Amino acid sequence: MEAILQFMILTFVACAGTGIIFIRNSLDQTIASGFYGGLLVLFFVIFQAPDDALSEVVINAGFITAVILLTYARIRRERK
Amino acid sequence: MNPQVRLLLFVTCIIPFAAFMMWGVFCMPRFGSSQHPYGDIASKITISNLSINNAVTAVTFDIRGFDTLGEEFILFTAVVGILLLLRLQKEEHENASLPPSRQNGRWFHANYSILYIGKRLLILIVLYGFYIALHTTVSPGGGFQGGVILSSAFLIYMFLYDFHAFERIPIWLFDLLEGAGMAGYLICGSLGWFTGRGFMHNVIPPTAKGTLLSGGLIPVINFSVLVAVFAGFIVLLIEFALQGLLSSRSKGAQ
Repeated sequence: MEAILQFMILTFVACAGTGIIFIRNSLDQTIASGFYGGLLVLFFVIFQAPDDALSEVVINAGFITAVILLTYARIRRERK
Repeated sequence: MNPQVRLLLFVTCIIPFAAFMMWGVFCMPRFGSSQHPYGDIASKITISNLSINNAVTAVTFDIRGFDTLGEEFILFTAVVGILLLLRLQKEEHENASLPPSRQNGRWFHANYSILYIGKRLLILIVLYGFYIALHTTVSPGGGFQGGVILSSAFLIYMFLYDFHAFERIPIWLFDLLEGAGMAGYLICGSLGWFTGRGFMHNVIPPTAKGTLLSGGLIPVINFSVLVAVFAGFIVLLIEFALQGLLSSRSKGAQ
């Protein structure tokens, strides 16, 4: 059972990680990478690393998306 | 340096590195096996010597010693680098002192339902941040995670009520807190040297088991990490938000 879960989450993470690279729109990419972070949280929980899962969830949910969006807002205004 | 010399340098560096890497990788315990020499030693020390329950905390704040110093300074260096890169330039100073233009003064009005939920979540998030930070000896979490959660509460406040809140809070205070947290960490770590032991030797003998204050020096170090991480992330947030706002105030945008 555990092996199946581990195999599934590894496949998901690999597919999602590859998929994000091929998104060309940077706003879409930001949002997708937020979901990818959620997937990584599951990954860490399944591999019995709750400490890392917590770090991942707070950094990803709290900060990476916000910081990238703020940068995106700045760059988009600059282009106009 | 021409490309051939660079390639030569790269190859001479990468071959020993790859050899040691392979050696390390092939000598690791197999994935999923029950034989983990380091894991066994670490959990033994965690339970018997340090009398705390979270082995990860024990490894980072005690057993690993000097290595954690580098890890702590990653965030510190990142904050310093961002302060250096995103500091206000000369012409940006003029723009920053301009009053916010009317249509850009508030980026958006928070939706009523978002406000309703967010208001109630905010207090829970603050409580949860303190919970995670204080329960480092008994459950997963620690100063780093708690500090990030606490500073993300500020982010939520900014988005819910007032995007310009970051302009009013004094950034020097958080610079100071960040430095104080790091200094606290260094002082606690080097206390071990005065007893003739290694860096981060636990100078207070651990007594009670499974409580928040068990583990001797660990809660103290954890608290200084909490302060440093909380202040560091607030500084990052202020810098990024200020840059995001600046261009809306340039004279062209008015």
